[in-house]
Amino acid sequence: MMRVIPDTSFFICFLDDIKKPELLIRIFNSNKFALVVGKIVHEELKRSENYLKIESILNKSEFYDYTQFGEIIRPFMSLEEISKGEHEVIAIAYILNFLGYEIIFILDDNDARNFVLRSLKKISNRMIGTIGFVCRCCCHHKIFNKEEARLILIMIKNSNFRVKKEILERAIGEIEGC
Amino acid sequence: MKQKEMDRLEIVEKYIILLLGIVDKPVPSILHLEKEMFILSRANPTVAKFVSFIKHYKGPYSDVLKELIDSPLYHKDAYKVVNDRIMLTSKGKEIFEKIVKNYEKDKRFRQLLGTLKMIRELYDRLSDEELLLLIYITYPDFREKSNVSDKLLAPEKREEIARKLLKKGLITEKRYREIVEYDAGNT
Repeated sequence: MMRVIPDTSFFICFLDDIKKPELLIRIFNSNKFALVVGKIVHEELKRSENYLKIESILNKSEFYDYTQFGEIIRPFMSLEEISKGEHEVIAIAYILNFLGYEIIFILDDNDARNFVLRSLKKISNRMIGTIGFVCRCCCHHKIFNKEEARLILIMIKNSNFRVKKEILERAIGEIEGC
Repeated sequence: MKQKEMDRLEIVEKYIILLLGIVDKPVPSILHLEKEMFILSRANPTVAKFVSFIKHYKGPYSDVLKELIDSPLYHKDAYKVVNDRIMLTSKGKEIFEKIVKNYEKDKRFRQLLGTLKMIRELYDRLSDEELLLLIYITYPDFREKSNVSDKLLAPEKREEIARKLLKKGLITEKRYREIVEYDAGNT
């Protein structure tokens, strides 16, 4: 089963921005993905008032807490990026990819994405954003039908989630065409 | 030397061999090897039990590591230093393969190999100055006793190094700004 390693913003998008935690539960109870959550991302999520609504899926996720993989990338990233756990997501993705697992990791921060593209090219083709992941859930894994996926993207567009309009429009087009 | 200490040295020597063997090219300098092992010890608490680092004139330093780099105890010809670059010998490569084969079924060992590979992939690309600057800014405690940190942390020098790191794609834009705006006196 494909392992998914999301960043904090992915969870917050569903939990607090569009307030649809049930969609996360649907994604990770679909048996299409195994959720992997690092220590820092998990701690960040506890700050959300809707955390308890997804606690069950987080408790089922794989943890890698005996080794602080993120420490390897910490010197290369800002304190803000570190507090959100971006470095941890990248490091876990690298290790799981090295171990030969089928993985995908979700990163939305442009700076962090550029770091992967330039410094850890080997895993860059396993990187996706929240919007791309919604498309994937619809087009590849059929977790959402086209109408549901389109509505999710529209909710995201009207929320506080930061994403370029062009990316959303492209995603809506992709869903219609898949 | 007591048996327990001997065992510890043997394990540290194996960590050195694994770090050198995980990528088929030399570690750029002894400074790199020391700092890469330091990062490994920060990432992996098991490693930290065997190698500890003290504040020194060029950042984190380990006596044990230095001694084993200069003269390996258990695998005498496993690695060599040529023009400050450190590499496995053909005998060392055989030892590396043997260690990997012995532990390949152990998940934590394979995770350790992945950790070592990521460290080499990122840190080998740094110059000595870039390496030390990132260490001093990330772990400011290790500036104490340093005789180079003031020079590297001077605003113009810091900006120059940060710019190079950004150009190489090794730090994020936000990290670049953080380094440039870093208050070296406030740590």
